[in-house]
Amino acid sequence: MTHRVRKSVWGLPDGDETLMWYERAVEALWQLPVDDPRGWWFMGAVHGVPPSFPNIAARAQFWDQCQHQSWFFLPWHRGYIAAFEAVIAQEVASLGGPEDWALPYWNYSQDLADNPDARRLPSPFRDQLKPDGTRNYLFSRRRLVMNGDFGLTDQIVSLAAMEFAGFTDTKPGAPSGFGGPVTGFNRGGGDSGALEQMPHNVIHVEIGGFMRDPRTAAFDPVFWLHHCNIDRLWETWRQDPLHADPDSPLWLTGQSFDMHDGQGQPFSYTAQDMLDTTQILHGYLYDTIPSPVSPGGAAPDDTEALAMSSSGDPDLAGASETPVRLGRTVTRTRVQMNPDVALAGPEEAPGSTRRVYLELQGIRGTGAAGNYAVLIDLPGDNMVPVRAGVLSTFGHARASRADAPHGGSGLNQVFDITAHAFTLGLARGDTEALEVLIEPMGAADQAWGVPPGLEGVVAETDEPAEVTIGRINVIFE
Amino acid sequence: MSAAATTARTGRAPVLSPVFARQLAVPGPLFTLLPALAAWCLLAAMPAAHFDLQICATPPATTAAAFGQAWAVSLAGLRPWPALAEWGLMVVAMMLPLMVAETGQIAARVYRRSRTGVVLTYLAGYLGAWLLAGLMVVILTLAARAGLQSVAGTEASSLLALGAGALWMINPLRLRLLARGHYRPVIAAGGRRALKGAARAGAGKAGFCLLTCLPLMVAMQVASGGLAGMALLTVLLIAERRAARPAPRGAAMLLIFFGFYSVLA
Ligand SMILES: [Cu+2]
Repeated sequence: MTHRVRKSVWGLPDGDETLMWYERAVEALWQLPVDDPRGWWFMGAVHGVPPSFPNIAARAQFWDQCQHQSWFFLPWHRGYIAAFEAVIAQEVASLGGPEDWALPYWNYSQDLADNPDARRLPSPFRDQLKPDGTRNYLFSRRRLVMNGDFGLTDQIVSLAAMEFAGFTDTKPGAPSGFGGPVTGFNRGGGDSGALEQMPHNVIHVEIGGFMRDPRTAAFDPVFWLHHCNIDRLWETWRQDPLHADPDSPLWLTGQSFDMHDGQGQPFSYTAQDMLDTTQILHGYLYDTIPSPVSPGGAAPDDTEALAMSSSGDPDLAGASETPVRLGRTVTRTRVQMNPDVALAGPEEAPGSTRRVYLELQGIRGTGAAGNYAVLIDLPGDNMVPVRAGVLSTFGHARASRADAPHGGSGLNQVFDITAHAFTLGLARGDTEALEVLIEPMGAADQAWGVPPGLEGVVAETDEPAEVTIGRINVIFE
Repeated sequence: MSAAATTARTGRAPVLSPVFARQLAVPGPLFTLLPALAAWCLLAAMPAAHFDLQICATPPATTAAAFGQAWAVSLAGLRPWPALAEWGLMVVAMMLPLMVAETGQIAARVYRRSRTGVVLTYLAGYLGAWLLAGLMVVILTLAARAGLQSVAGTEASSLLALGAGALWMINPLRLRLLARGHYRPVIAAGGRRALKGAARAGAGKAGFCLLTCLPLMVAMQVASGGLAGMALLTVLLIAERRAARPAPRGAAMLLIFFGFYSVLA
């Protein structure tokens, strides 16, 4: 049996018709009624339901399912995009297109030396109209940029997540591994796994518009190419013999999810069903599973540090005193270090044997999600602040609602800052306080355009972001 | 992963998995699972429930008279302090196992030297609210039982009580309260502010637990479910908290099955 092969969207040869057929299928599915499980509306709502969306009987079982901040993030989305691919492929075939249509992936992390366009949005997605003047169904509301250039930096497309050795980690205050924290059915709230955090969340926010909110993201046709790439990265990670998916039955078979296949017939799956891509519905493979390249990403000592496992029980070493409200420019917060913990003996100095994390706890708010550069400064040392990483608030509004799985406790984000422990004086133990700087990144600009048919369902423009961080913690492990 | 590696190296399985041993040592499980276990043992050892009275008088002529009689019999048989003590044990046995994750989360975000104090304060706030509610439960249980038994027989009362419990189990309002109860407040990192925050967080958590669980516990008491009934309820409530997309219909059905089972057995 032959399987569908998912190819790099930028590697498709001139004259390739994959995206042309994709656009025609999307147009056809857009015309189906909202309660048709093969329709564009229904399939998008399976991920999340926009605020003023029509209600249907099947909602409770099929809609609003997307798993975020969870170890089900990767397997749930694998089943979701396979189901979507089946529907599109079925439609392409019935429109007279190829029988083996497969979803392409957008590899924005590809080395720019190999493909200078890698970080640009592929051109068929960019314009509201096709060259013949009719509507382009691959267009969606996104940030207004020139030539598909969203300004994705080395940091944003970094594949440092691929260095995580473990799939999950349950210690509160520590990073939750490559794939995300142990949860039940979780629509969002808590910690993202490393791959989910970056590039996944950060790219969602950089594209902007629908992509910026989990309740509308899957209505943008480029969502599927983004997630196809995330799925490919999981497949690449798990091909490494040193990496393993969870073996807990809670993950393998503990939670099942319901979707529809290409014919619109319901089926359900668990994480275990998602481990062999050739056995999922029609079955699929990736054109290449290359060893991941990290363009300008983690320095060698960083990588080594990430791979190093630590066994200790996390210890709070410093914390901010009051909640931090993020402003439109840089927000500075003093994190008071606790001398009892910070003045550890040299044999267990942070950075040598202990790991150091910066945790943003209880990230809550409303409005459009944002990306923020997080920097740390040692007050009075006359040195430039060090970079902790990128805070992405993708999904914060939804995770702040009282009916969210954690009652609206919001998101958490943990940065491994072990590599900076010496620079910040943490290794010497005489640091009284750190200053954390949180600065909005480019994605603050407005998104643009409401696709016809969605007027009244989504707001004209993005709501401005209101974000509060409950506490900023320094944690030694 | 690490447990398997140990086994491969030493050639024998570790008695207690190192991960599990480490989990037990932190204040969360230490102050929740161990007291709960002790409470279950005490409850199992105790001869009979102190407000678990069967009413076997001849049916009086009017419903009001029947209620009066049943209520009087209940009150006469009520020993308030043992009843409250039993309630306390019940709360410790059934509710503390639900608090393992919560206390772990709270403990991880305060300074190590404050952990024990903060976790105990949190649990004190939580249990304090439950004990206050206990008084109400004893009265409600007696009234509900007297009321039900004055209009229906003992067996029908059990079924009616559990039926009402099952209806509350699937009530959408209850599901919303349940989600809200998962809220994880951010409290201070140490000192008096942390203790104050912990007490408030514990009492607040108990408030949501009370609203979602208390009617079910009263129903089970009215139905004289005994230790088995309480164990069943505990399992159902833990399962519900583990699944963030609860499917309460199955649990409601189980409650009704239990009612039939206890009546027929
Ligand atoms: Cu996504």
